[in-house]
Amino acid sequence: MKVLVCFKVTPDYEALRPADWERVAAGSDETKFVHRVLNVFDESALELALRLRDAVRQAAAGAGRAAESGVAYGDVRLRALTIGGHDADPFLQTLLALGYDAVARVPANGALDFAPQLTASVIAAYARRTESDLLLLGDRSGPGDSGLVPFLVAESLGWSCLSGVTELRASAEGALRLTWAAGEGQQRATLRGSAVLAVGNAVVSCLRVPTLTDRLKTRGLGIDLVQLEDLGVHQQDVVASSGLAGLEVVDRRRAGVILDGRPPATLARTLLDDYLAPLLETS
Amino acid sequence: MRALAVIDGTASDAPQQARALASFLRAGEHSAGERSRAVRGGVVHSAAVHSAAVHRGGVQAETLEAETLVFAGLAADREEAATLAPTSAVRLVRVPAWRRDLQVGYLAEIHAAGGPDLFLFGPGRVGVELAGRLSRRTGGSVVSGVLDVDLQSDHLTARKAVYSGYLRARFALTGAPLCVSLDAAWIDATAASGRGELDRPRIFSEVVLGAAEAGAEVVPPVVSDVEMLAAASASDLVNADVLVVAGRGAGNRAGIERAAAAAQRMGAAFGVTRPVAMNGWAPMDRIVGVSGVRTAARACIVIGASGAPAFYWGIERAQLIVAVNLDDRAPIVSQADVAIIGDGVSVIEELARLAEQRRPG
Repeated sequence: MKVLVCFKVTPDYEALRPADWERVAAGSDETKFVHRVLNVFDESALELALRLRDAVRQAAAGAGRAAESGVAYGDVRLRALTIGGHDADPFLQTLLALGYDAVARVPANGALDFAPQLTASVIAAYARRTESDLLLLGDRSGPGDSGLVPFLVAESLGWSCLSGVTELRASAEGALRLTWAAGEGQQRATLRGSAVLAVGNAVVSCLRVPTLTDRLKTRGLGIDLVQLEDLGVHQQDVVASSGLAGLEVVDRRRAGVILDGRPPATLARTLLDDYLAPLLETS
Repeated sequence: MRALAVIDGTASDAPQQARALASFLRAGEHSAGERSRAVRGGVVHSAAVHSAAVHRGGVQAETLEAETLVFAGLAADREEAATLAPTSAVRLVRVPAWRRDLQVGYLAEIHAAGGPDLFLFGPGRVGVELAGRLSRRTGGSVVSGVLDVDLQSDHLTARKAVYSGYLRARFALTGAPLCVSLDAAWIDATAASGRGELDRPRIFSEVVLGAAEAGAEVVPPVVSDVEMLAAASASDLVNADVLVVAGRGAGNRAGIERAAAAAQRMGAAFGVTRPVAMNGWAPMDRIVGVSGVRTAARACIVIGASGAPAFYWGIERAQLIVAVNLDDRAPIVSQADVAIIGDGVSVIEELARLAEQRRPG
């Protein structure tokens, strides 16, 4: 089984101050000086894929059960793809050290940040080129936060898409069992074919850390740079796709009255007497 | 501009889709002052669709004529399915559950036959999937999670949250059809839900898709051996009178457990921010915010959370927001009605002690 995991590296938005956001809204790229993080949902997807590979290999090594059962998941090949700038390269190197078989980056430098249609075209084209059987990615990612990309990719590939995926496991027989959010509950089922799996609030939320030895062993492995044009996306498409008409800051301020200068017990009493009790008594 | 509101009545969140669409369309009615015309004709004249999420001024739009398409299960009750519709004019399309491919195919046919300019979908994954797939199949334009729109004769400008909620963006959509899904804030944007004072629904067409699959196992096309898992309910967070929410500032799992115990002694519900759940300090079903629940508690006490927008979205409807934080520069301090600069766990334990002292009996 060829598994493609797509991920996004974003600035750590929490590191920006309100004044920075005003400058971002005005068109200045204040985020370029902020350290980079993996999109949280993508991070879960990357780790879930590693665990799936480990489990399938373990099952296969166990008693050759996976091979004997004829299940197609006998071997898992992991490939990671990101669209972005050089700041994603350290993350790609980490994935190589963790055992991803191949990693690729489409240099786009933010051009597709608010273009889910084009992002999906790029991912779908790469999935076809690499003959991937299964595609994992986060439910949504910044800065656009559209949540559209998994469904658009699935539509392009003619695949089903299951979103809100929280768990991905190989059974002892090598079959792939997945759990996903459905309404207020969850459902678990056996996957029967190619699909896009959009990962949501998975308990597995942190990517493992490679050893120094693993890093050294994979230091020479390269990142495959794939140009947009190679995937059928041209610069004029990028320009035409931008529907972004403007950004604005959001004012969420309330009264912001600060109670201070007294012992914590007194402050708690003031909070209860002056704010909470009157509100709850008037219900 | 002609609009078709689409509800997947086979999905478990169909009531939420219906409520959001009703709120969105009726917000336009009320703003326009054309309510009587709208409810009688089954046509909504939307002169101003404003953001109920932020309660700010509306934006002008030209006339919007809306009807509803409800996808209902093959065995669903006809009248019950139609009552999901936020307009009087209803198209009913019967389809097996999970068959989004059939749903999108049918919507694409409507577009090809000269259908509406605007396809309007509810919030959540169903709305996003239908809007996205339809735009892909028809070559239309799409925007998801919409807070408000400005409709013109040949295009639409929509606002939505971006940068994890730190900013809002305006997107101009021009490629037909315009496919729009709503922000989840529209689910509870108005007290009234569903049809409100609308006339009895008039089903003017009924179609059946995939009838050959009647009786077959109803599962997503790509899976088998489906089992339903018992899920912990987060309804106590949604319906709480008083809610305590703890962030990473609680320090560690022990701090979270102390805060949860204090909240229980106060008679308050207890939730956490996403990073707390990701650290494994609390279950995922306790998350408050965009990736969890949205509450309308009368009082929400936030301890040790910075107030990131994705979290704040979950509490912004609270009547009173109290922040307890060691950092007086944390955004949550200015986003609260009242704040205490101090250790959140200690303060909540003190509040619990006082509440217990005052409890009758």
